[in-house]
Amino acid sequence: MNGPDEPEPEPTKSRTERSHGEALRRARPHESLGGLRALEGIRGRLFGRAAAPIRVGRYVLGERLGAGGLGVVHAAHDPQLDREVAIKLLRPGLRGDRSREESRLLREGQAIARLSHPNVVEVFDVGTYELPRSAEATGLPRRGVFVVMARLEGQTLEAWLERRPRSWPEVLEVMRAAGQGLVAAHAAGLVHRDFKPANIFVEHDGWVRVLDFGLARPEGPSRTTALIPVAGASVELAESITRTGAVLGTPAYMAPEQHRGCMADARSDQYSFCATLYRGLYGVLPFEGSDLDALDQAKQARALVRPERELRVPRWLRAVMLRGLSPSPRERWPSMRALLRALSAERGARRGRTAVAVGGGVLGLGLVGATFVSTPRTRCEGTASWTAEARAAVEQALSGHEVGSGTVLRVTERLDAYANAWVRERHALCEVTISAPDDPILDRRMSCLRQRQAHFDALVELLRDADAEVATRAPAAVAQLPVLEVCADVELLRVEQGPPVDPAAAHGVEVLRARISEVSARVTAGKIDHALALAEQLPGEAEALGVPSVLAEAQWWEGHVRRIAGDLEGAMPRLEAASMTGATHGHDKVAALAAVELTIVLNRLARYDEALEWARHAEAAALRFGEGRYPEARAYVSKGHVLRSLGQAEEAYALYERAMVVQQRADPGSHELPTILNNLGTAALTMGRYSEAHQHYENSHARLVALLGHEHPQTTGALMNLAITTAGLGRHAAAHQQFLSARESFVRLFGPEDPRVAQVDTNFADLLLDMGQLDQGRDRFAAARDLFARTLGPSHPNTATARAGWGRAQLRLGNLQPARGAIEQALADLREALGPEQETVAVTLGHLGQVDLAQGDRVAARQRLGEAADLLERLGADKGRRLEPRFHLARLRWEEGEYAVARAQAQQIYDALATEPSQGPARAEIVAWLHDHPLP
Amino acid sequence: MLERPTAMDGDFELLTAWQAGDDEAGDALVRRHFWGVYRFFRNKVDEAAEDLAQRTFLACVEARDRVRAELSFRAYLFGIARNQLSLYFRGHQRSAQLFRPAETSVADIRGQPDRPLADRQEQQALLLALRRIPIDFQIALELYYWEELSVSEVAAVLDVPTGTVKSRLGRARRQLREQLEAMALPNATLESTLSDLEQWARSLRELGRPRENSSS
Repeated sequence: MNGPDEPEPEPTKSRTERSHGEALRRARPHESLGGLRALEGIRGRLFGRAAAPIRVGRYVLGERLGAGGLGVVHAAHDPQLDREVAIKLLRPGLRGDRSREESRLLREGQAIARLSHPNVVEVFDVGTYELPRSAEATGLPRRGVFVVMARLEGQTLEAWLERRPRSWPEVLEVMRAAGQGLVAAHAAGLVHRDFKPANIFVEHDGWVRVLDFGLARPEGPSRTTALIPVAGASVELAESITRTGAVLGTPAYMAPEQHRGCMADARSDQYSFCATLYRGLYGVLPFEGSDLDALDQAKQARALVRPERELRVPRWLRAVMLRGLSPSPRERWPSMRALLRALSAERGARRGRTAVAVGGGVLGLGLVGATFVSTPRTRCEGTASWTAEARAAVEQALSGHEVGSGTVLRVTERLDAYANAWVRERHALCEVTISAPDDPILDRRMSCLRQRQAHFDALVELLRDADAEVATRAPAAVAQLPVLEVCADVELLRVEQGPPVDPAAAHGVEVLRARISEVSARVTAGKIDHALALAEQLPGEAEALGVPSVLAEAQWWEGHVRRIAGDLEGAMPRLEAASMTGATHGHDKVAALAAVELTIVLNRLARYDEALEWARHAEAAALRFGEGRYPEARAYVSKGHVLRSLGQAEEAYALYERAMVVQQRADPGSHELPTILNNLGTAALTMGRYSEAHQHYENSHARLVALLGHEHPQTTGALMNLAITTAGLGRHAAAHQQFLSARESFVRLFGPEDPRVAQVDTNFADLLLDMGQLDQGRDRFAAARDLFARTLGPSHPNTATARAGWGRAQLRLGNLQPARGAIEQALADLREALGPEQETVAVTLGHLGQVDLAQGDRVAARQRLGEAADLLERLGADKGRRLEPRFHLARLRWEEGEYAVARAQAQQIYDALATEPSQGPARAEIVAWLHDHPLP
Repeated sequence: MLERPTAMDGDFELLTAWQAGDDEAGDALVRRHFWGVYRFFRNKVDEAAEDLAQRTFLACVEARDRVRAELSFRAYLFGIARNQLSLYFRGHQRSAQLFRPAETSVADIRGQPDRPLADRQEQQALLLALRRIPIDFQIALELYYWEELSVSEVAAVLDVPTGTVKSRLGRARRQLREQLEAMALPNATLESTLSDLEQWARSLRELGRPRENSSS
């Protein structure tokens, strides 16, 4: 310090005081264009000096808007188009070939100018410029490249984040919009290379735009001349200084490959995106280091900086983000698009739009992964009952059971999402209500939301006290939370709730419907007994209320719950009453759905004529309710089930097709359609029409993917069905892939300890045996058997089927003793559980016959194989299954020396199977046998 | 083009010539001292800085009788600037009695600036903190560190004894530090502003002059 006499600093603080002096000196504002214009203004006014505007190209510079590591940004006027723009003056790099750098910037700028996307700032023009000497005091770079952009009003994400604390849904929303901009740029082959909060702009109206695409130097910071931003400022520093530098700014957002001077690609942007997201969510940079090396090491080790405060960021969001922060680009998301999908909050809303019936009820299927509004914004926000305390209690309750690792998280996240979506709907509705307080329709909508809240609260209550059963069903239960969008659909609401209710009774109606919601919640949680206990009281209460439409609903629910509980006889009178009340009082939806339930019940009771009678009632009521609506499709489906029981597969198939047409008209986006397609597939499969079945399953699966996403139990179930037909069609490699995906998906959804995983494994193992991968097949059967035993019990038919499969694998491996033990056990369990006249029993019996044959017990083999073949014939089993024991009987003949007959029979079986792919022994096995057994 | 004046010789002569009607002299004087005056106002009145700078120069040329020979021209000039600032704030305050430059801060009067004051975060932080200490403290620090006025010159501007300025500078820095700490800065920035700054500034000096506007 020179010049003025320094005031005496207090000795103990001298270091700080001095440092403050330095900091203060540094903070002295630079000469600026704004100042220069002020000076020119004053000179003009005081002395008549005309101020010369400073131009860059044709653009007249205005005030400075900001500066970045790349250059400065000024407001500017474009006299040619007479519009206000922003102009960025880029400082050419100090190293490297200046003109090459300039032409690169020009190229990049032109590429961005061609890109048009709402989340990318518009670039109007790029060019090179050189300022006159007189402009020196402006502090502008004398020459370089300029980029003319749309003038935006708002702030950078950096400023936006600092303005006030932001909840994670707010941050996510902004980041998703910015991500869309990146996706568009990537699609155009552009890479940003310097994505960070300072390059994201939040306009006043909340619109988000990404700035400065491709303007950063492609090499990133290098070892020799590193770009070391210190607390936000970047200065060119030599290597020796980088090692003692202060906190790193921009490099913190860079992908590690950019540290090493590698070319950045879209995956590097993805990394920066996730680093930015981390900063937004947690308020700190994900990685820190005192220099580039330390920073790089932190990134490689994924040594995340812990947020100062414990912030509520859902774990799924954290997981998605952390994958993007993988040090190796290969381990990140395959693309920005994939990352955005994973972050997609809209996913939930889209799913929610599907009004779905499950088990004949009026429950909805699933909202997933929407956002959680945490802070009340207006007096309109209600407080959801989903508090942190409730969440913790649910977590604790579920963790106490064997539900698989991912389940607890999945359930709580879906509850988060639902609660949030509910608050959002409620908020939206409340705002409308303020403008039109007396609209009765709004009352209905609010009441609809309150019912859903009742369902939600009831489910949360159940989950807090979850026993093993509830814990197991928890994922399905949260997936069946009733859809919220219905509450916004005025038309739908009118018909859904039947005729209008006397205002005097409105409160009572709402209370009762809330109790119905509770019943519904208990059903989805598998608490059928509890549901029934409550449902039984409903009709009496509804009668006391004296509102027939609600009485019909109450009766329907009691009947429905009894049906699910297995009390078919008890269900019937209630459903009949519901049908009657509904039909009499114009609540046709209940009338139709009651008739549908009755059709299903009577079908179960094998009272087919009556079932068909109710199917007709169902159709009539459904058509009264509205042609081309969901109950009509339900009516056809239930009738189709009856016809299938009657062995009229063709007719059943035709009805499913009609249902499909109706449903397609009613709501092509709904979840009911893929269910019908699945029925069509299964009907086709029973008729042995594999390729047709395959098509339906494929269609069903594709729709479910669009509707629910890949990661959904139903989608995955459909994929498994698809895999079975794919395997049946002999497309082993494709089937292999599908089984693997289905399995992974189930594991992710329900954890590795879910019986659905074992279900896939059983089918998968079959394929592996067909492919000749015997050891792998056997091990998969073993895993399935053990898992089924743990989850469903040691003698459950599924356990037995897997056990039998393991036996078959052992048989083919030549381990006959274990094979016999397993298959005998399985056969006994299956007979015990299902009775003797069952296809599975017959098939397993045939397998035991094969063991007999292998062990040389021809008498037993002939007896068992023959019995199996007869039984399968009698049961009308699929051709492949019927012929399997016959093939082994042909082998028996060979053993007995009847070579010609044996070969002829085997050849015949092979030919029969050649026309239509089918379950049962792979034709390859027969071909191999024929090959190995030439006529002597 | 527009060098910050280092030699004060000739300032009063230019002023006298300007007062006699020589616009060339006036223009030279304005150009010579403009940036200091502009800086003086920029972090106190934001957009009104241009107007107040102009008023300061005009007051300078009009108030010939108040020129005191024992003062440096710059102390005289900033004294006028401070008066203009007081007039401005009094005019913009609901109650004139409330304006006490030794107690009231710019932030008390104006609140947050409309737009960022600086591109670099720690510079922004300091500028904001300066606005939050009493105006006379802010003036003392700025004139002392930015304009490199001596303690006695600062004393003349603030119209207080030299000893008072010395103690004020110490108090002003302490208050500045408190303000910086009180501001909810991201931790990294606070750290670098408060303590790492010394080391940082030193390394920059060793390397030579930092490039301007080189913030991220």
